[in-house]
Amino acid sequence: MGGDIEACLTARIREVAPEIVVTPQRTIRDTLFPLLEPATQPATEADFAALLAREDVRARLLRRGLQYLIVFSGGTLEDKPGGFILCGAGYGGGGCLGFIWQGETTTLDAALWSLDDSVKIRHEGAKVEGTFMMPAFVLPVPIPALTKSQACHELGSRIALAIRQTVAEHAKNPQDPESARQRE
Amino acid sequence: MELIESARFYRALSLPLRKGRAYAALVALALAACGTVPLAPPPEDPPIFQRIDARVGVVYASAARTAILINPLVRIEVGKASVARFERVFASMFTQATELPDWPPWREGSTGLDGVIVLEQTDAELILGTDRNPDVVRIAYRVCLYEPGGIEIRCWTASAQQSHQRRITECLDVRDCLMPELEITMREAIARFMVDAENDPALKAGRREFPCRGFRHDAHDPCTHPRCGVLPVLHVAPCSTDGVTGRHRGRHCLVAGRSGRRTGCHGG
Repeated sequence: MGGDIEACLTARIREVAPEIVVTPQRTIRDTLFPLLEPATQPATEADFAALLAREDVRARLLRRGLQYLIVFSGGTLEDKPGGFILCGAGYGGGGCLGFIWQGETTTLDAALWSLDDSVKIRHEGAKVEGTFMMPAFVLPVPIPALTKSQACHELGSRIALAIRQTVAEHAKNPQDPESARQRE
Repeated sequence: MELIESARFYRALSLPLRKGRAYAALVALALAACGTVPLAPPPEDPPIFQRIDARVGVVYASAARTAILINPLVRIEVGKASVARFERVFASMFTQATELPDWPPWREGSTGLDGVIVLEQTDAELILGTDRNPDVVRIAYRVCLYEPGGIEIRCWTASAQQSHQRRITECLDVRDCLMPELEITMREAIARFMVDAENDPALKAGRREFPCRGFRHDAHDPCTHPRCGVLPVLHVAPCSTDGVTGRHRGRHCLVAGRSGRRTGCHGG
């Protein structure tokens, strides 16, 4: 997972809340190199909080004008495919007949971290189940399940709204970081 | 008769085949030579590292500088790209990191330094995949930190591996898949080295002691390090005062004969 999900989330966040400026994960990883590489990134939330609490880390992120960090994870699980398609051809032509299907589930999670106080303020998730189908009557016609794009669409909307809500609450009550923490 | 005919036939057939192989090798070589692909430059931001207050010399051994990945489709100068990245890494690790010249050998002439860090080895391997097997990229580095006289303080070996199964429609130009994989692998191996080094007990201790290892404080000694005091091993000790010229290059203490009495500093 990575590039395509990130692109999809970014596009959705911009669509729902155009006022939010999204910085690509590549830039964040470059900024915090070597601490966010696959081999060196924090394994647990506690480790991540400890990382964000580091003065040098926060200074770099704040220097880029960042206020929140979204950490997303997840993936797509595919079931065993079912059905069959038979194809044949002769002098007079050819064709296929049959039906194939495969269930898939995409689960995406995102944690929203505030860089002001290095706390996780929100957790959002999206789970979409679907089935890939391919009926074949003369020609096979694949019908994708699109669970990944649906889950990402849903999660992107939630993240955008969560940031918007957090910013609004923070503007209303800037002295109370606890309120955000308790909301979770 | 028939046998002779067959032998002739096979000889005749094998000639173009042999020639063909030679041509194929030449074409592959030409392709490899033409297809040198540059890797992306390192990020602008310096890497994050709890800097060690020490002046070190930096050496890139030829085994590390010249590592190249060659296959018929692509030729990648991994050593060159690695050196560009390690330059930034070492600069972020130490207060001062100065690349040492190839000559004289650093073990003989590195005076005025607290240590020497050497990128000793870069190993890179690329296995091109098929529609069933993924492409595999492996990179490993060996980095060693030495005292100026050549005594090893610590060595680290950091490696990383990435694999990617290309889909049929993906990467019609195979380099579009290989280059990102290689870059990720390189980044990851360097990141591993940096995190290992930062958490290394030897270097953590060195954060406090490394620049001043072996020094003692003596206000009357002319060979006094500005911060650490006096180093008993005088011919490699950096000095804070200038003195008469001696046989060593750089800033170091002079010793009077066998008495070991410090007579002053020279160089600078």
